[in-house]
Amino acid sequence: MSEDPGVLRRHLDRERRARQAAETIAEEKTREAFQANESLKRLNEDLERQVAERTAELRAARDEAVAAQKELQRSNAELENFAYSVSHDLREPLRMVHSYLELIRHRANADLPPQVADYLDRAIHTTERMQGMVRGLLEYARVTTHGSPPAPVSADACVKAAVENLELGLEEARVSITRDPLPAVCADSEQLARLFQNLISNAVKYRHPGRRPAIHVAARKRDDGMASFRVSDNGRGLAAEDKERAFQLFQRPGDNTAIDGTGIGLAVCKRMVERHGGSIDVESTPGEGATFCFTLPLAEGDAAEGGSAAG
Amino acid sequence: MKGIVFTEFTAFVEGRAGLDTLDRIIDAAVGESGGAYTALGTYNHREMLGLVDALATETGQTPEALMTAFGEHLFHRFAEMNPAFVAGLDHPFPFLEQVETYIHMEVRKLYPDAELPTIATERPDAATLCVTYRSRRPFAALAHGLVEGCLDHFGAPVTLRAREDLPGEGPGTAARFTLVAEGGG
Repeated sequence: MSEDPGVLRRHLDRERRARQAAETIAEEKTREAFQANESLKRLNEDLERQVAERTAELRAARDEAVAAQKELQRSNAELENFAYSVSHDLREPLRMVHSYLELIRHRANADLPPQVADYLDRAIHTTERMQGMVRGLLEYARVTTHGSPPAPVSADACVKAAVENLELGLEEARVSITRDPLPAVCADSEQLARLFQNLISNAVKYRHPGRRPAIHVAARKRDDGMASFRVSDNGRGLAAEDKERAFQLFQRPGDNTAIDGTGIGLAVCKRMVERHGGSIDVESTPGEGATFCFTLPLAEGDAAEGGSAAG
Repeated sequence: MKGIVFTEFTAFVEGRAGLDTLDRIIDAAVGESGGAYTALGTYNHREMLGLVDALATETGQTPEALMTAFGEHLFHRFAEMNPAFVAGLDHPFPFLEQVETYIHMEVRKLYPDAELPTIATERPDAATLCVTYRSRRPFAALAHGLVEGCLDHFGAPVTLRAREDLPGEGPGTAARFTLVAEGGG
């Protein structure tokens, strides 16, 4: 420490000025911090308001979507009931029309001019076709309205039942059917048999004129608890544009008007598979055959084994 | 230049040479702040150069030697004031390697307008660390003193083998310090 009063005075003066400068800086910093804090508070309030607004918007949108979904479910159920009632109620009058037309042909056929007899044949044929369509529609509507709850069922047994139902037609067409061991699935057994029946009869219907029909059914277990089935044939196959609409109602592939059919069978298959939470598709090379692939949930015991092939 | 460097410098001079010397060099340097420094303020770096020059005239030592001695003192003061920066470290290499990425980053949080030098490091081999100082201001000697202070603080067997002045924005604005650890880094 100096003993010179001048030095001490100047030192004191510098310290005083430094303190004043520090106080001014501290005051500025405090003001800046206060203003920054205020801005932050406003920003926070603004963000909170935006979050609240957006949350309200999202909640409203969600409520709207839930309401729309419920309305759609109600409307679908109504439509299904309507389709079922209409097809069910049409059956009887159509049967009457068909019966009377048959009666006319039976009693008066000999007396009818040839052209009128031809008209009558055409009317009877059309009525029969219409009966087939009504039956198909009824079957289509029944998939969801009259199905049994899914339960563990042997896919092997369902294929066997389908083959038995089609026995005569298969023998007549000299069809060779082979299958790998199939897993148990969780399904409506009647619908599963019907599904195989529709796919097998479809393969027979669209068989290749130059080959003995051969159908093979295979399946494999997937890791996601589903079974993947493949029903392959060596028939005419499907063109790319037909593959896209194969599963739509009343759609029939290409130029096959000579083949009897209503265009409902595959639509019914798709509806059955989707009712079980699966999906269906078709792979095909025109002229070489088609493979219908669909998935169904594995029965619990089979699913637990996980991933191993069934055949 | 941040006020803390000035307040530490005046304390350094007062402690080593007394209040009379400090009074004379402040009077001789004629800086615009008149020697009334506060750690919270920011001052023109030329005031520091003027103070060191005045001290050199007063003591007969070179400004370079005085700035280096002050740098060494300053490192110890920084370590006292900011123990978190050196905590958990027992060697100068990892400390110097984090000056740019950790210490300068923390300084910028408090003083967004601070104009800091860049301190780049590289290890040509396990036992050697090269520290490169670059600044717009000529304080390579201060950086030299800080490096010396760092080695002294950690007390590890590391020597400053070479200081190479590099071309920069003027004399004393860039330098490379080569540090070598005995028996590996």
